[in-house]
Amino acid sequence: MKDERLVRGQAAAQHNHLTEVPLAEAADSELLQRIAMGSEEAFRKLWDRFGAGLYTICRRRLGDIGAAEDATQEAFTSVWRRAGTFDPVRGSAAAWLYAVARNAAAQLARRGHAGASFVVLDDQTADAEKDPVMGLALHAALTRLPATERKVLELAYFEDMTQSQVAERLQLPLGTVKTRTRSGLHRLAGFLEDSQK
Amino acid sequence: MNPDDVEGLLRENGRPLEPPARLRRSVLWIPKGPGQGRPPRRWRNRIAAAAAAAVLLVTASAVAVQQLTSFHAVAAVTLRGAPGTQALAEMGQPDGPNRPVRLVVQHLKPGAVSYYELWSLAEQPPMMLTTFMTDTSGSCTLTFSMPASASWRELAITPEGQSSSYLLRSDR
Repeated sequence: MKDERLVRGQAAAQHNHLTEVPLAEAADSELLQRIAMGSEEAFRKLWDRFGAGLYTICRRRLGDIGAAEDATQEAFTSVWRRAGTFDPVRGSAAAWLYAVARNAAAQLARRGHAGASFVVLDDQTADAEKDPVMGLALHAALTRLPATERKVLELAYFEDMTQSQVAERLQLPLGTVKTRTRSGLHRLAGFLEDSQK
Repeated sequence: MNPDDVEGLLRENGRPLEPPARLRRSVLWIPKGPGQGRPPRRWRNRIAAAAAAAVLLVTASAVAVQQLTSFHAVAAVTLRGAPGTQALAEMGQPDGPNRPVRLVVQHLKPGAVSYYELWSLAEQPPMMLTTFMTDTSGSCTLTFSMPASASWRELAITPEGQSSSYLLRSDR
């Protein structure tokens, strides 16, 4: 394992030398490619973007907090070990990560089936309400927004506030809230389009 | 994808759940190698169960050992024989039909016989109370039960199968 990490680390150093894109701006698929080359920084960044989304998926599929934590951890273990198998030609990073998390949850459910205290939802039930891959990509894209824009969007769309209420809460001029909302939505749209490529 | 689509997606999906801080720590340990991070919950449960079982086992063993080793003598008989060879029989309080006895033997000739016999000579005929073996120094300590109704005032230790050949005998 140590030798493998050494080799992967050297490869990552070479890769980082060749590509000048900062991790914060790197596309999701590029993060996976860097992880495949042993970049722990890219792995951390991937957690920042997808940790909450994958955990949410596992919670919805397993119902149990502890089981969801285990499944999320196993999913990220798989990501670290198998990032090299991700092929951007075959699908988006979000779709690949969703499949990894779904498999981790399913395997956990199979192993712990006897005496399991959690419920396992089937694919149709778990995914009936929305497109889970798009939801995962959306949550990942939100983390890439500047904090000022993200906060405005979270209050407006997750807490159902009007723009006036957001302005009051954040003690900002209404115009600033509108500007940040508009720019945030545009930026999100761009990130989501990129993630589909 | 346009901003209106994004608005719809935001409303539809809502806020993701916040992962626990311990999960973040565990996940970020993964690149440092397997086994260094937090073990999965089922292993944590198994480890906790094993630790609890070990504590219970140790506690139960301690109680059992204390019960086995706690001995309150109400009388004692000294047995003497060759110089340096002696034994002490301590009598406990009768418990129903039994009386606990602790016998401490020192410096019987080692290896002379395969085992020794303890006799109550006050009984008619003499009653064998127990048999025992010694360690390489000719010593041993054993606890056993004798009939509560049997006399303990006159005791003797003999070699195996030689009931009249006293190696040690209580003072008369």
